[in-house]
Amino acid sequence: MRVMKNLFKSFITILIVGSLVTGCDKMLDVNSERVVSPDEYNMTATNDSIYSIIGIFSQLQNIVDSYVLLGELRGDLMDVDSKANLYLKEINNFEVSPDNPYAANIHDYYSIVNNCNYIISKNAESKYEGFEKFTAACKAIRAWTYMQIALNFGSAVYYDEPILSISKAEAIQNRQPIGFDELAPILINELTPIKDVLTPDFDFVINSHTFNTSFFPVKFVLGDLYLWTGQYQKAAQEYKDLIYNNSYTILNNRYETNRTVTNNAFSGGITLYGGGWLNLFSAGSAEYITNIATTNEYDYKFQLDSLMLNAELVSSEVAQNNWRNQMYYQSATLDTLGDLRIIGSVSKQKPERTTSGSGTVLYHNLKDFSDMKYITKYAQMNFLTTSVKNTSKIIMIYRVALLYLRYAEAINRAGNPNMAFAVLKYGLSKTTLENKAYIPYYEVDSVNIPDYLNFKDRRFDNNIGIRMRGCGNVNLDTTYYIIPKLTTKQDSIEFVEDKIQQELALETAFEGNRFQDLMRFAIRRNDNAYLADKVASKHTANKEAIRNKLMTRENWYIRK
Amino acid sequence: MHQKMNKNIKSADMDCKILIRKLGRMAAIAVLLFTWSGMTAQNTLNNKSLITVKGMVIDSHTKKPVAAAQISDLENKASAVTDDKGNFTIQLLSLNSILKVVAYDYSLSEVALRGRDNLTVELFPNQFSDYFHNVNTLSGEKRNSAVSSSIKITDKIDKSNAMTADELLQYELAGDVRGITRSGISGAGASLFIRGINSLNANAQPLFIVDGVIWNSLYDATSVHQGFFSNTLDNIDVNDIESISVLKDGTSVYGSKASNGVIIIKTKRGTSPVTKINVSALAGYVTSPSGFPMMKGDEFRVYASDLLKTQGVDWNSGSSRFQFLEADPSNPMIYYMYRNNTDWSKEVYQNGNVNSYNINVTGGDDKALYYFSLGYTGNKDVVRTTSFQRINSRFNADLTFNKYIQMGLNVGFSRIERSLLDDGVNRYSSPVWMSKIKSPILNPYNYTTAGELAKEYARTDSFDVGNPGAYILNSINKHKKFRLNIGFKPKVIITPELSFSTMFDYNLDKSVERRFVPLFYKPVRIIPNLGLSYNEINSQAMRNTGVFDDSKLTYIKTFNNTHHISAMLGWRFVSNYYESDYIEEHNTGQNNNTTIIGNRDFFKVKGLNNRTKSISNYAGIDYNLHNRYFISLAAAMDASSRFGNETKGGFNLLGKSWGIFPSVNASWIASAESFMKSLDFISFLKLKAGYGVTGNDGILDNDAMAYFAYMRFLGKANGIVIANLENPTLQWETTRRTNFGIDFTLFDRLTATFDYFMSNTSDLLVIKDLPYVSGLNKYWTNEGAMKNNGFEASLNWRALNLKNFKWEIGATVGHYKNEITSLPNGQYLTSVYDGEVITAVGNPAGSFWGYKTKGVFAKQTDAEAAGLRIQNIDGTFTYFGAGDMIFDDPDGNKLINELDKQVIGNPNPDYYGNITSKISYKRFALNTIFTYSYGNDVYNYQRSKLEAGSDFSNQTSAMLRRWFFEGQKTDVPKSYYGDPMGNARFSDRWIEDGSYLKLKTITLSYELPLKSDFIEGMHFWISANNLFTFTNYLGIDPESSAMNSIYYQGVDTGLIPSTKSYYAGVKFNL
Repeated sequence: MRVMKNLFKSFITILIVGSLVTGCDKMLDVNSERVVSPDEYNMTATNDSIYSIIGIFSQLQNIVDSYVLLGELRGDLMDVDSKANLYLKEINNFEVSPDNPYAANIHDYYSIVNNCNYIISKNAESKYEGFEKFTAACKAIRAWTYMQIALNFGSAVYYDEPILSISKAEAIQNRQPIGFDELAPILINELTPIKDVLTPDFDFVINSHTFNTSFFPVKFVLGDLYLWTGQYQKAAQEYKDLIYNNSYTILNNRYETNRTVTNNAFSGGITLYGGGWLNLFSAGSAEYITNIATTNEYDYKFQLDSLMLNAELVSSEVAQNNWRNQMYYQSATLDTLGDLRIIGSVSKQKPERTTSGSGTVLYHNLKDFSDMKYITKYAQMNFLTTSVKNTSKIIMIYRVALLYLRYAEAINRAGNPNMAFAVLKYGLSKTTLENKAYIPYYEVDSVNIPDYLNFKDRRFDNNIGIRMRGCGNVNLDTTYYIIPKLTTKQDSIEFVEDKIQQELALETAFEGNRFQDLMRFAIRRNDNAYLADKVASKHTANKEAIRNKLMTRENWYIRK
Repeated sequence: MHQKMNKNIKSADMDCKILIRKLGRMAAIAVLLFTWSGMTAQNTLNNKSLITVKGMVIDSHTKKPVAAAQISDLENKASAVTDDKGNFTIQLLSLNSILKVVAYDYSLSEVALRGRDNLTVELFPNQFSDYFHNVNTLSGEKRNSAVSSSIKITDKIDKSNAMTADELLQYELAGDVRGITRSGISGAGASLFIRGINSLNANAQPLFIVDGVIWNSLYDATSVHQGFFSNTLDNIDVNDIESISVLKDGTSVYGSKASNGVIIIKTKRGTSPVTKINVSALAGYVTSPSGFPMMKGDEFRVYASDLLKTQGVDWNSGSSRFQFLEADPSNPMIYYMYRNNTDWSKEVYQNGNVNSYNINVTGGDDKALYYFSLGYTGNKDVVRTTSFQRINSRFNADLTFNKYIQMGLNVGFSRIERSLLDDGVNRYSSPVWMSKIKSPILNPYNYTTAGELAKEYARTDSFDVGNPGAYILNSINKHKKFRLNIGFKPKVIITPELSFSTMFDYNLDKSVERRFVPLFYKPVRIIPNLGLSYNEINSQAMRNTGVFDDSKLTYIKTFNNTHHISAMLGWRFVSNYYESDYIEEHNTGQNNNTTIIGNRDFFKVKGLNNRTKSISNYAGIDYNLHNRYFISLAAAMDASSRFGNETKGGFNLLGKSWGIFPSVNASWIASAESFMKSLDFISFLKLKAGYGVTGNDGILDNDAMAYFAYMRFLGKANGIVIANLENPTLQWETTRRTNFGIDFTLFDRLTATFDYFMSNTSDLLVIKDLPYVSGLNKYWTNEGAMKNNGFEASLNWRALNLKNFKWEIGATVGHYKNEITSLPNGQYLTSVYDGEVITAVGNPAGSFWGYKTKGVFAKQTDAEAAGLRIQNIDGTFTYFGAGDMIFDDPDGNKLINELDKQVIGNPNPDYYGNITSKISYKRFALNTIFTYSYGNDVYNYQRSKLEAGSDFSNQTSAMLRRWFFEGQKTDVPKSYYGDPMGNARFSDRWIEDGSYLKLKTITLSYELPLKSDFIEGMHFWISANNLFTFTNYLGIDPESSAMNSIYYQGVDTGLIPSTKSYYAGVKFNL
């Protein structure tokens, strides 16, 4: 009996002593060299921040397919081919099923948010030298991502602390999602204090992708937020500052494509200044502001180029007609239909994989712009080679022409339709601003010009109109491309806005902006038909059904 | 800071209190028991008069007396020896005692007096197996009759052609462990399942304890060689094994590691100071597998031209694919290239052989006993160039320093080198598979332009099939591994009853693998999203370092000859550090560039560094009253680095979560009671019952903590992203098992055991969706449950006991019914080799999930009447036509899609086990072992490829029955290039009854009558394996296990089958 008692006593003693000695944290601690625990990763070194930002770039790769497909296939310019897979057809018809891989990836968006949150919060603790730039970069990416979530899915669950445990994830998941109207002021508040922080100096290059163009400029995102929330002067100011600080220009002799004229007649040839408009998408182009670099190496799933190669995605007849129906203006006596930006956007032939490293050159018989259903923009952006080694693919998010068009949209609504029109037609420069025939005095006082309208700096002297890159000397055109005499300024503004909307289609087709652009215009005008009509125009058999569906604003969003 | 510390101490204190309360409950039970036994003890003390028992020991056959038989009671307090007439007299305390009778050349027997004071004991010769041997329990070696839990042992490991312990288990304990042979290569071993399926996604394999040390079985380590599993048990030479025990319940001492059952392997040790040398040698011959009946040359030509018509290509396009139709001998190179009738199996198979030698020495003196062995095994496997070589050595010693201190020493070393080839269904790197699908009209060699056979190997042919023979010659597939373990077991004897020992072991497993897939002789592979792979090189190095320590206090005492107590209390620590590094690159350009340089195509590096630590505090008490009533209590308290800190099933102590795993087992030897006096025919009867909780800690490392992972960006830069969220509730899986058993012997001749078990596993590791805001997709959580109910029975009949001729027949049967009882989302699917397995509530684990078929449409009108159709990827519909399969459409919407899938098979058998026969005639012995499995379904994946009729792979002759003309009634659909209608999809066409009865092994041995001082004994033996198999299975071998995971049981992926093999061996003792 006593023995047993003692035995148990000693058992318990050993258990306790054993546990004290052994069970304490250290004994069962394990660490791995392949995974990093939060303790080991706390942004105390600049190296940590480089790993972290590259980690975020890698997460951005996960949403490029859905960014483009949700942005374009739901718009009026991109269409599905009959052999497209069912999921693409679902997106095209606004009947997205819950397992649609291009739309059921909302967690990929939040992965960007969560990783940004982690870096931002750790940076705030460690405050290593230069951390502000990384924090600002993360905040811009997070804000852009939140915009995508809210605009694609209708609402977003906002949180700014990192989720590192399942219980935290569950708690945050239970928060009330907020709509774009509620979200935008939060994001604006976040970005305003850091809008002058520069992006980190990241001047190394991998596979011809420069990391400088991986960052999202705070001012662009902030400008977009102002534009969406109707704060047009503020938006214009952000866009203008970004243009000014970076000397972004739309230059003569860069990416311009003209018809060859011989003896005052079109000879059928094409002059490609600076490689022509299609070269704007080639590696290292000066047009780039932000792009997401991805790859199909290392098991990475990037499908967009395969979808294009298989021609499951094609351009809509609407998109092709947009280019075909523009007036190319050479002179008062010489003009013809057809915007030359059609070359480089679409083609008659399916892009093929070629073995040369220089990509496929897709010139055509330029007299004939019929049946150009295949999209070639991605082929221009992403060289098609059989040797995929060292191949990076990119998707454009922000570029210079888009920035100018957004600026035009902002100043137009800020009450400067003629100046906005000048962005398209003449190019913003000192001479344009001072030319009262282009911009009347009552609209812009070129002497006491407010900063957000001031393009008188010498760096803009050679700016041309965006439209001149494909439609010849539109600046000389006094017949076709003019603001008609309209009764009210509001009419002029809406006219110019339509032109901007059209220019976006001509210039930035298939790049992923379209549906959101149409949403913004429709919401601004409080006219759902603006979007519904445009999108329905692409459809043939179920035109009415699509239009009816899109007359209801809830149907603009993917159901989570 | 101070406050924080105080708080910690306080909370630790609280935790301790809870712990003490819990332990207190256990202690109370023990104390109660003890008080009760103390009281009864006093009673017996009072009548301490001895009773005289007389008896006689006779031979069971001749009925003649057995002289010099030793009789003793179980406490060894009283003993006697029979005289010439077999009579003995013994003084005992009680007429309810049990006597142990041992005699030379006879089996051990235990006889209960049952109140008699006069008895006759019949002994059976030791050619018969006996029930009363000792078994290894978790608290040491015990008499089988004194064990309350369900344990089976095989300890007559002799004259065996088995290479590994798991093969032995399959031979001997087939009804107790369900073992499914992995493949026919040397030492591949088996996937083992004890009492059904006890885990879905965590480790489902039993715990291996070798000489007291837990082995890391590396069950989830993958090899670069496809179809190969590096079996950790092949490190042990079967000649070194003393015994293997299978523990099916009462294993709670191993707490969170024991829910899949425990297999204890004991290696041999020195038992007497006499020096003994044992030499054994074995040579064998392994036949090459017979293939499927494939189509012959002309049959293939017809098939291929048929298929061509469906491909919708222009006949005149000049593609090389049509060269086989070349009918013009004036183009001799092409003409003769396609005019062969090659048996491609000859290009890949060879007859294998086995050579194995082992020498061991035992001996010592009164201070030290040792066992030393050296072994070599060199096998040639049945696929050309594949081989196995092993060198192994073992040194076990037991040192006695003085009365108080002893020391055990175990050193084991093995080195294995294998030459392998990828195996299974794989047209890109498995030469055996290439030989099956290769067109017979081709030749391994090229033809010259003059139409003569050249010496140069032909490259990948126009049907996109490689050249298996040339592939083998140009490929490199090496696997080398070695294992070293050094163990010490010091023991301090504090008092005669109390001792302290610690088993410390350090072990190192290392393996290096190299694989080179040659160019030209295999098809070019398109890697999705990457590009074309012409060939590849892979390399993998793996290292596991284990540190093990098991320290315990042992207390053994008998009070008043009545109460036997053995108790232990211990602490166990297991640490494993696993590291693996893998490198891959593609497109070397030439076949002599076989080293990795790091900048070729698709260069990929990955690896693992996992450290796992676990601690267990355990206690166990075995109590035995009068040697008739037994009760065992055991409990372990486990923590592991894999568990979270806030587990539901455990309690918190010092910042860690601990699980408690108690068990209780009780048994009663009813046959020793005096009321059984009249039931003479019942020689032995034991009833058992037990309940225990065990766990499974075979879950993923690091999964409970938040961590970040490296991400390659554009293949050059490294990024870090959040990869896992902290999940503090992650824990072990819990299995609660109830066991009822009965062991009995009738007329001393028929021994049977029967165990019925009910086990419920909860906290099953299952995958669940994460909240999407976290940015991650899925996580592992302990939310599933399933049950396994079943039984195991064994029967042993001493059928004939004549003077020279003895015959013993045995049989075992195992049965379980597995059912998933709870899952967070009700069900999920797992894709398994183009098929699917469903895990759903109400179904057994691993159920095949696919389409049911109802034959083939003979006529177009039939098909039109049925109106079945499929939806294409672009949303359009295509209707089934004549010659297509008729798929069952349970939802009746005429659309054949995912929603029409049903459970089409169950890989779990209804019954499995073995049937054995042992015949001895004079000095000859003939042992036969049949194994069987009944009621299990097999997914014949390789047949699904060989009868798909969708490409230019050669097909089995079943394809000669394919639908060919309107109105033809057949069971094989038409062949159609690419199979657009999915006729060959995963359906019950490929699910077959995998029941079988196999003559697993038969051995004839002969003992040389030697009277020599030099040689003590000499045995010769011959044996054969797999001589025949009765089965309806259409594949080669119905025993198939594609991987250790439970989802892959019963999937025949075309791995090398077990084939007939013949052995001859000799064994002599010096």
